[in-house]
Amino acid sequence: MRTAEAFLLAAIALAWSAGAAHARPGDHEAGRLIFKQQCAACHGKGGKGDGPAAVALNPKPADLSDPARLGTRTDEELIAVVSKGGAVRGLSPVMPAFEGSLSPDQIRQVVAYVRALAATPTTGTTMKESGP
Amino acid sequence: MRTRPLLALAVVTAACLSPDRAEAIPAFAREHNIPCSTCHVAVPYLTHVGRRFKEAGYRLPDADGSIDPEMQPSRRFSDALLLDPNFPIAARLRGDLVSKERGEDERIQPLNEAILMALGSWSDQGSFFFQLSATSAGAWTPTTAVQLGFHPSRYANVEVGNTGPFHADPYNTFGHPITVFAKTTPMRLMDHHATPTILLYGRAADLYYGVSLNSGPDNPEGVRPRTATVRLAYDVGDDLMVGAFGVYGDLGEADEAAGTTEAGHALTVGRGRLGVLRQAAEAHDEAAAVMGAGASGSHEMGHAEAPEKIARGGVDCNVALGPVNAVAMFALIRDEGHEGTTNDLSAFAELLYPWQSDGRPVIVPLLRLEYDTFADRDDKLVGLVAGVNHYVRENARLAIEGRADLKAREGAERGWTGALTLDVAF
Repeated sequence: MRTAEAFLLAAIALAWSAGAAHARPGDHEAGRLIFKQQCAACHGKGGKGDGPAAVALNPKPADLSDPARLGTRTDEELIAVVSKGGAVRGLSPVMPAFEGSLSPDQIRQVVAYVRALAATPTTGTTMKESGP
Repeated sequence: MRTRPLLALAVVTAACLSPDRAEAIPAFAREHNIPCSTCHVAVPYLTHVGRRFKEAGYRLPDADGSIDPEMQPSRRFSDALLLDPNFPIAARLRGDLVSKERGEDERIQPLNEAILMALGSWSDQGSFFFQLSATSAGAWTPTTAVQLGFHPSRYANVEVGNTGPFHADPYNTFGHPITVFAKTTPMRLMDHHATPTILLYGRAADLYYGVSLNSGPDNPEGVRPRTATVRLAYDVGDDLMVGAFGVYGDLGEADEAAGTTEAGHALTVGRGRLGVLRQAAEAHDEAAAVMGAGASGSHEMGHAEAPEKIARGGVDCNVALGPVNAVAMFALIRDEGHEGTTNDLSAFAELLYPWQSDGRPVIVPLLRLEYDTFADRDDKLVGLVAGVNHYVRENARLAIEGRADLKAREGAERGWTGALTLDVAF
């Protein structure tokens, strides 16, 4: 009985810690605010690629609320695009690099928020790739 | 003496072009992480998005026109005071490569105009504009222009200041001087205009309106000059605008000694670039040569007799034909004075071709034709402005421009001017 309880507790702790690495309390709200200030001008508040600046951009900003689009991207890819800019993944060169203006934690929060917009799960990312 | 300003121009140019300088984009674009071309056809000409940004008091409205404070990056000091995180500032230096005014010898002025400009928002609903400018016409006399704006709604905004009644106008016919040679038609419209100004403007769907009341100080006869303007413009989609405007004023008795009215003097006080041009034109004959077509036009346009009443109006349009941007304006100018009433025509048409690379304009040639009649002396002027703008970076523009009289005053020699301009924004 004790062994079973121990396994259960260990499993819960493991699951919690794994999840905590990707989505910490407050991440969603922090990510939402950063997204609105830094991303919504082009991608729109809902991430649909319909921000006020989108009309002047070519190519048009990506629809980040599309599960089909986000479902094929790993968190590493999303973090790389946010950190290094669109050109690093062959996307729009107009998409700027944010590694100089956002911290790794903030970039992770934005990615978490974008995942929530598209209702796609995280793919088990760590922040090692995105910087110090 | 000439080498010092030339050296200064060279140093600033070198600083902007230095390869080890970090790629800088102007503050507004940097704040919103968007390229300059989002708001500018070619700086400073505005796109559809840029016009909405300016109308909202340098805030980026959402696609439906509403302002979401959470979308505006700012550094908040209190509930009533915030500042843009990157303080928006721009500078312009201008030198005349060669200049020849009617009846005068050719001459060179390596540096003859400097403008420093700061603008942005100071609260959730407040904006500001400040400009310090000076020309070397005779002496380096600084002129200031200040405007404060309140933007509670896209339907109704209020601006007060001394920048003139069309300062808030978001279209490219009145403002956004991409050449150093001011457009003659707006200058003639605002000639003798009283300042300071209180302006109410806004937008309902695609219709823009602006109404201003302007009043100068009492003139020696105890008459307070007053002028009013009305402006309507309709956006037919993102690529076409058609507009109309009217200016009416009661300027009072002319001040014969000064050769103009107090309203005319009020015009010269701190109305930014136009104010500088007019002030210099009135102060120095040689200023006409310095300032090229715009000032020359202003100088030429100076009435032998200052009007007591003005009634001016016309139509304008901004259109994007594929990559070509066209701007045109036509105005009727009716002035009443001691010696009767004069009716003049003034018009210009301008073409701009932004040649782009990597999604931003790099080389932008420009051509503008100007036409003005002067009934009081049964004469007309036709001018041609041509220029090539090189956007060496997103924040730096180097322009070579020229202005020539195609038709000068009767019996006068045709004049022409070539200018080199450097604009830098941070």
